Amino acid sequence: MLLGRKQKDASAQTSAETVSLYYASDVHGSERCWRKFLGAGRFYGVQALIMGGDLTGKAIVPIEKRPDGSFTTTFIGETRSGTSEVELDDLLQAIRFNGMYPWLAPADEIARLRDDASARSALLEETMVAELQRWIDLADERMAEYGIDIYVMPGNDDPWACDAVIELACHVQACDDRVVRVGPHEMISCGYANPTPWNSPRELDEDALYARYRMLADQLEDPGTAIFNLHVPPYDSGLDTANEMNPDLTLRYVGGQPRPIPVGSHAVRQIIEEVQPLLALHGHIHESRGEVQIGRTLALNTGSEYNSGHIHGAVVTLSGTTVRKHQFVVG
Amino acid sequence: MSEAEAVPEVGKSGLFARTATGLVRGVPPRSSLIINFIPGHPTQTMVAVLLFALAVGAGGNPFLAILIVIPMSLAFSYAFGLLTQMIPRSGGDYMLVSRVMHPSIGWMSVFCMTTAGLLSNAFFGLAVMTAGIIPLCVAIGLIADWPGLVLWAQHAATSKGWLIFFGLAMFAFSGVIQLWGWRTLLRIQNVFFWMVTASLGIVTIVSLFQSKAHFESKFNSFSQHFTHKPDAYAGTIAAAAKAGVAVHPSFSLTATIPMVAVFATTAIFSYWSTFVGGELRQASTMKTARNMALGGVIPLIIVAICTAVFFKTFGSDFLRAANGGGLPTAIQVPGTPFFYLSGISVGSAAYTFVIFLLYIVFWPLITYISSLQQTRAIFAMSFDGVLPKGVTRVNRYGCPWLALLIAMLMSSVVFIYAVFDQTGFFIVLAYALLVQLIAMGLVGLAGVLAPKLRPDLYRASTSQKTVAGVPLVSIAGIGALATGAFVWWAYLHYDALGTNANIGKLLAWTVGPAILGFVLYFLVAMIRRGQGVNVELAYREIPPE
Repeated sequence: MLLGRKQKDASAQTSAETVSLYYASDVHGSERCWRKFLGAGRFYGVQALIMGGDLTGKAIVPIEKRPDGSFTTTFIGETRSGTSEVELDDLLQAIRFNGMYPWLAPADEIARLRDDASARSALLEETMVAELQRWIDLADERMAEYGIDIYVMPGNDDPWACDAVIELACHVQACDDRVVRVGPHEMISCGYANPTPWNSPRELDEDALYARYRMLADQLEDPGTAIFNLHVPPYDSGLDTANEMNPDLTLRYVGGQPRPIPVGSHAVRQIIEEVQPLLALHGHIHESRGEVQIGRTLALNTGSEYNSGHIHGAVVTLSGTTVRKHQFVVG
Repeated sequence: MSEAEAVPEVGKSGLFARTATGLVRGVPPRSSLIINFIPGHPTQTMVAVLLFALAVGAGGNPFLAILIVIPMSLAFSYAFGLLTQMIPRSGGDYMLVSRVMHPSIGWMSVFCMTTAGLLSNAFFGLAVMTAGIIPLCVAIGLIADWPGLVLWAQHAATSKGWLIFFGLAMFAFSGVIQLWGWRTLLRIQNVFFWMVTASLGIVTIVSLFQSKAHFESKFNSFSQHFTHKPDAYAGTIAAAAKAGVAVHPSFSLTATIPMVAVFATTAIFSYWSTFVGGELRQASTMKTARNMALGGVIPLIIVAICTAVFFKTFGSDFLRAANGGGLPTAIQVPGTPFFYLSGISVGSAAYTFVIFLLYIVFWPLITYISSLQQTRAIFAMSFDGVLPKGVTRVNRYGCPWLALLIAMLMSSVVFIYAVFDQTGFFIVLAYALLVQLIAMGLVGLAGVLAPKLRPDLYRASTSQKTVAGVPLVSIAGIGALATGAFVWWAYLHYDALGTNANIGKLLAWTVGPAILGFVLYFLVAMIRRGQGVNVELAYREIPPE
């Protein structure tokens, strides 16, 4: 920081750079953020891109399409209607920009799905997978051309059907639940989270989570230079502050006010403290962007602002056993 | 997990939403409306601005002036509101300007806005004594016939020590109430807001049902005790006229123009919720801009109504005369506040005291609202990597206490400077206005350029409204720029406004921060580059693949 402490490793700037990477997480269906993520490789001049999970969106916006070609929908509190292809295209882009999926259908079909939870759920999954496939295809094509390594894992919010799409990619490397190499550095990744009030697809209790992390960490040859790409941040680290929720997904008030509490994972904290990797990368808690030193490990949560079209990330340069420099960026 | 976006439960708002992690933001639309309403609260205008406007615009029509200010206020509300809908993040002008144009412009803006905030806080620190405690003590002392209270108030009015004591105490109070987080703060805010509103509401309703003859009679009876003269009401008007005050001016459109500038001094700031844009519920919807617009227009309508009622009951000639120094010396109260005249009319010290208690909380309330800008801007700049991460520390209730402490300490320094520099009471406010207008103008410029410079962001937002094919945000931006230029011109042109007496000082407090911000940005970027960090990258938009 200019007005804060000097970077501890300023003297190491002359040492050899081993890898530079760009990390981001929680794009939640925002196509613009995904395309910016792919653009970040050349923009920041890094060798590797790491996506830390929560790729898919949370909602479908049904657009009523009429036989005469006109359409209407309610989007961000407003009715949007039109008759031309240009207007429709603008609407589709706006929906995708905000991390949601457009779905064009006649009024009776929309009404049918509104009353049929299982059909709605199937449509959501089908749409998410199709959109993700499009994203991954784009990444395969562009990153292979640029020669930039790209690592992608699903997060706790992503349905299981996403895994196959990532696994079958050509250039994109699926990294969840395994050890991969980012340059000379080993990286373990895990998209699971500790339990949330939303009961999202990938949640484990702390013991099971720790066992999973431990199993991965035990495979590392050189833990001191490793990267931990764990979706959920460590407990009570300042990277995991969110307001407490009730099981019914309402805010919990204590003394008449919402209570910010640490909601990160004890297991993540424990594994970082025990293994002391070089770098720990996290997402999950969007408004808890920040950094913290846990022993010798630099832990980062890049946060997320996906629905404004800005991608939050961090550019990190590693140099052997040290983090040579790191910088939060909003692209 | 978390983040606040418009993803409601299944079926609501027509969305098919799955169960996924999400969080509710803290500030509901009603509270954001109040946040926007407070900077232009009619009580402030009635206490600190109305009589000054009548004095500088002799012959001007205050109602016409208010009517002209309404579109000026709307221009800023819509420029800020529509941009906030596009970029619903905390940080206000800094976030909007830096994201739409360039961070160096954002720095210019935030330096101007912060200077304005500090000057405004200094004004509020002065006002709590000058327009609050002193006139109240004199008024109650006179109405209740407690000469000791009058003497103390007269002493305190000339004492820098008392001025500083009460000003700093108010800063401390305004800071402390923020430490318990939004929930408690919004409760306090809403209670204070309704107290202040009630003070003006009660006085206006009481005055509405009292005749001018009644007030004349009560005033004459009250003043006879001190002056031993039977008709002080007519005497006040005659004395002011003799002293050259235009108590019965004929209408002049030219004289209305400086009045517009004076009313604008407190009435074009209905955009304050932009500073907590990241904490607003439904921030991406049109409610954001609409709440800002309503927060600007409603106070002006109330000011017009209250002015009409006060003119009817107290007499516009009497108000001009009293403000022009026509009141007998023995019963003069600084600023001739409305609660004093109403207290005389009701003839009750208790009534005056209650009205005062309701009114006085306005100053800590407005100080807290003003400090939102400084704390949130410090917060945003820290996240962008140009201030130490340490200043983003929040306490267990989510209050950025260190940023708040820094803001309050800076406010205290500027306030103490204003006390010792003896910068005029209204001049401090005028400087705050003019430097703030630079930042507001930059936001206006961002509004003009946003559809061109950030087309994707614009097209994906609810700000995509047009009038005759021209984006509303650009029209609002042009209106904001024109308003800023007009008010600057007025303050440089009219000697009665007092700001052109010392041009060097004026420029130092206004253009100075803009230049400083611009230069410092590049200095910071250069130093950070030497540390291996390219600050420009922190903001630069990645070209999407």
